[in-house]
Amino acid sequence: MKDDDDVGFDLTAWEAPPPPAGIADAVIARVIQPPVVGAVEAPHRSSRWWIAGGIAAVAVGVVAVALLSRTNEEASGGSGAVATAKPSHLQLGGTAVDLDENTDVWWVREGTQTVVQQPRGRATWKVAANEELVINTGATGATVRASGASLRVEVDMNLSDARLIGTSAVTAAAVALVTVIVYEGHVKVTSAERTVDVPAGTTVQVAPNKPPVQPDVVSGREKRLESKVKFLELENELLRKRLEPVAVTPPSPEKFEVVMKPLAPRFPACRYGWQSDRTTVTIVVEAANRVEVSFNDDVLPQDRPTVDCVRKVIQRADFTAVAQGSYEYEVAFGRRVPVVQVPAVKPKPPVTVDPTPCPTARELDTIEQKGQELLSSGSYAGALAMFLKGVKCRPRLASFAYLAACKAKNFPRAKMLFKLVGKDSLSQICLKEGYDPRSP
Amino acid sequence: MPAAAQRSDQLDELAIKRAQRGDQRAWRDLIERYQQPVHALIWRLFAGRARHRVEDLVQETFVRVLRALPEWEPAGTATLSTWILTIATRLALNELRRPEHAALTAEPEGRVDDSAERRQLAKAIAEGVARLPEAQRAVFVLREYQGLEYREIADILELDLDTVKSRLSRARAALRASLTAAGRTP
Repeated sequence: MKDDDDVGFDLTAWEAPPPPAGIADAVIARVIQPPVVGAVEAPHRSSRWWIAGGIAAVAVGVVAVALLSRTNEEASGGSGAVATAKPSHLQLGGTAVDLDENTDVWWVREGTQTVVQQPRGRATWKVAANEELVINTGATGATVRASGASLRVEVDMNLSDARLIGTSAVTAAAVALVTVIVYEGHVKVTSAERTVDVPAGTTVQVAPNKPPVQPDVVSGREKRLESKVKFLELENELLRKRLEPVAVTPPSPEKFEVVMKPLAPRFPACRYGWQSDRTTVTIVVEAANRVEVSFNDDVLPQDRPTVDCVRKVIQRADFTAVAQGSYEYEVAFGRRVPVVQVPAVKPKPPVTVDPTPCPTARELDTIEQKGQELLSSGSYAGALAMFLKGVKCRPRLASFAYLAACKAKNFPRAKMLFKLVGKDSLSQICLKEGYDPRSP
Repeated sequence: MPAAAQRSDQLDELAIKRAQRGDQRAWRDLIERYQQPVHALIWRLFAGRARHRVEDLVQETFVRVLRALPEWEPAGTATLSTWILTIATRLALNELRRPEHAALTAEPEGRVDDSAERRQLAKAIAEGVARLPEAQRAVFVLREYQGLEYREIADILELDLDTVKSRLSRARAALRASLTAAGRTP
């Protein structure tokens, strides 16, 4: 198109500097990292562009699973992504979903429509009558549309395909079968340019790029009720799994004393000189025999050398290991007499790191959101600082803080957070930055 | 005539397909091919503002490009470069809407190896562009420095053609006035 106007000055005088070096490396490193937060937007030309991008991120799903193991999430709008490590619940506006463990879901909400990518795993969806749900099952090419319905979508892979996903790009061969079970309402399933209606009480299975087979029509009130009952049973089962506490039986107080007794001679070497009359120490024993030691708020700065020494002594103790979950003891130290008094077992409180009061839940939400925004934009140091504000009161922020610390190359902080998070698989994040957080 | 009408060569079809399949070498080629225009675009849109955010936004642009790439269709209406610039522009404009970027900061003079006259002109242009309203600045930079057609600008900014033309005309007039007021002569 011809210009019919001109500024009349030599605009080339204002030159942009060349881009800084290392952009490609930084970008590729970020893309092959797991999706920490899926809030993204792109030009309207490709409204489902995020889907394939999300699939690529699954390739490193091991870490994603560790990071994104929330049990409940409100997500009324926008977009997001979750890879579950355990059964989880999501609320996407008027659409609710219970995700089984090891399930990946990406979503975009526009108005009352939720477009979802479910490339892996099993999920039970409940869609309000005024809502529309569109589920793309990734490489099979199957699409599920539902409104005013309850359904379960299962995307299963065979083992060889799962290995493929773990190492390279996803291909059509990766997904073996999609199963859609409809409990309530009518659902449409499309694949290979064929659409079938799946009424309540029926199931349809779709192989990659094959048309779905029209299920037998189920009629009769009794059949529908049976379907409804099945759905409620499944819903209850999922709820039970979510609420089920990790059963860890702490060793008896006597056992605790037996463990602590050999350590008693070591405490005087700490030159204990507590400034408070009563100092309590909380010992939390977690999986793989990881021992966290925290002190109560009465500890003064001048007590710090003693605190460090006592912590080291306690961490040498040979506590009974647990496979998962944790148990804890509270130990009271009197002034200058650091002996074990009452190893009382109590419900697990958050491990105290800092005596300052917790922010409110809303403030924590803001901290988390801002931290994730900074993380997404590559401002790792800022993200780290933001997450650290809430780590004490919202333990899941520790994983994000650790990620930010690794990316910011703040390795001392990363090491501390790695210990706090206690998931060995997360060591990969720092390893990619050239640092092994497991190093002594 | 746009100041930087020459556009980056498009990647060849094979390279794009490889990139769409997740080939990291192709990703690198793509980034290295388009990083200069993307960086220049965001850098200019951030005239007089938080330039420290530019690199982050360039990275973020390519992160989004790579994630969205499998869904990009070569046969679609936008070329790859226009599509990438669309993502960059929207990211930059979203960022510029943050209140902390409202305040203007002084622009440095141009390249040190340029003449004093040219450096001062560069500074005056930068300050003039920085003072343009965001809507005009985007149209102006996309046209004058990225060399995009009106239709492409309209698509990127989701405007109609007449709006693009009128904004561009107003931006040019405002910049001309700004440069003249700064003692520059055409």
